[in-house]
Amino acid sequence: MAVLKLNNVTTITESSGAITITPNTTASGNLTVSGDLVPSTPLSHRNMVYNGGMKVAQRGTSFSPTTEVTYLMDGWRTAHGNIYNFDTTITRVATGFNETGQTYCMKVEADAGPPTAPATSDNGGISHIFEGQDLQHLQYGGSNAKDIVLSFWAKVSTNAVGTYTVQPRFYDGSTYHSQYHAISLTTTWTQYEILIPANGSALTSAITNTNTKGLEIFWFLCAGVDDIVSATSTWNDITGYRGVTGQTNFLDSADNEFYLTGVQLELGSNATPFEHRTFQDDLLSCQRYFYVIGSNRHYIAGRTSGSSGMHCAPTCPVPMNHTPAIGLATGKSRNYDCINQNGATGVNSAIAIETYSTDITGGTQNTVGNLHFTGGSGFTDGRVCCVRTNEGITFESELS
Amino acid sequence: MVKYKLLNSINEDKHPYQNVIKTTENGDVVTEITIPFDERNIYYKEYLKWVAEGNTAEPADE
Repeated sequence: MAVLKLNNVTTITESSGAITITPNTTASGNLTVSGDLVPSTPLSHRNMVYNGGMKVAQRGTSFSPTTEVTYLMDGWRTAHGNIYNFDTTITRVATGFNETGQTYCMKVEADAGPPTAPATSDNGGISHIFEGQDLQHLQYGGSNAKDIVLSFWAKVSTNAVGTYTVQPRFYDGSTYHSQYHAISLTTTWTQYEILIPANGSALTSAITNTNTKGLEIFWFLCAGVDDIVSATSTWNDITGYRGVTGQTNFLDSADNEFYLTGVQLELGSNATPFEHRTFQDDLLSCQRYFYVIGSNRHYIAGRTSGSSGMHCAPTCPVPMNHTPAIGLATGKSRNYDCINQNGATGVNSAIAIETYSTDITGGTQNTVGNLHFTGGSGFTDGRVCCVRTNEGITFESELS
Repeated sequence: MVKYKLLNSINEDKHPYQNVIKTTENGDVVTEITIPFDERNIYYKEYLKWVAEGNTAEPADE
């Protein structure tokens, strides 16, 4: 290997054309570019994960999943193969800011009881879902498909040290395609970097270009013996949830803890520093799938309908993914008033929501849908009015 | 315990449409969700699965 050593050189010029430096290059001093900087991957919005730092928690900060999919801090949910009892307590807790650069992390703790060991094809873990239309720049389905890289900070408690599985799985509209990566978790906060090459079936199958699920990334903390496979970084059209050879059973002790934060998925084959977004940016991304109208006397304009009802269309800061389900806060009762020329009258029958269609951009409107409140009396049809929410309303249009 | 009950409604143009109400009782705690008939919605998918298992929602009030 030839080595060229330069001393006291301040300028390099080449009269015949551009200079190309092929190998990886490190500049230990400051680097100033007076011309244009043209990177191969985006400078901003690099991170395709939203709420990767667990800052937004509209549903709360403590959850107790068992057998059903449980939506956690915004953007995160549990995964249960074979309706497995993933008997854990999941909370958002403060993290070692000086270690991870994050304020919060997700903590998964095995429940006492004894924990349920995964049998045969059982699996349990957590996941994050991406809309297909937001991933088209990966160019899957052809020879120009792009590598992506996943990075995150994680650690476990002493008894839970071992091998775990990260499974990226994309959807082409009819078939799922998976890779299975092994990670070795320790008791020390560590930043993991997983290259997800564009190979195998990613060269022939495109990610669905819709506002439905295009990619999901799983962190499996336990898997049954029938679902153990060799780790692979090649895309194959495999649907199932899997654990890799050597998979640790996280639920073998009630003392086990798993921590995760700083999750980033980006184009390229090397992870860049975590792209910190403002709280507002993360919140808006989250509100596409979950939105809350607070209980503190929120007023929504509308019109009366017949003598006992009213219609209104609450505005969401961003278009929701699809027509949301409407929920009341746990343990709360309906408590809404229609305010019109007659004063305030309770409209406390079940709220209805009219289904609306969305185009590929995710919706042409910023309403959560047209709501129909009923149960009042004495209204004059077609008059301006408003509803007053004395209890909050949740709107859910999560991906699944 | 989970119960489903249909809900008939009308839009501003007086056209009828339907939702289903899911009520979950867990001890003294009750939660209620209005589910749109949108096949992308997680609650509607769950309802369809429940129906496929041979269950039937309570009819809507007249």
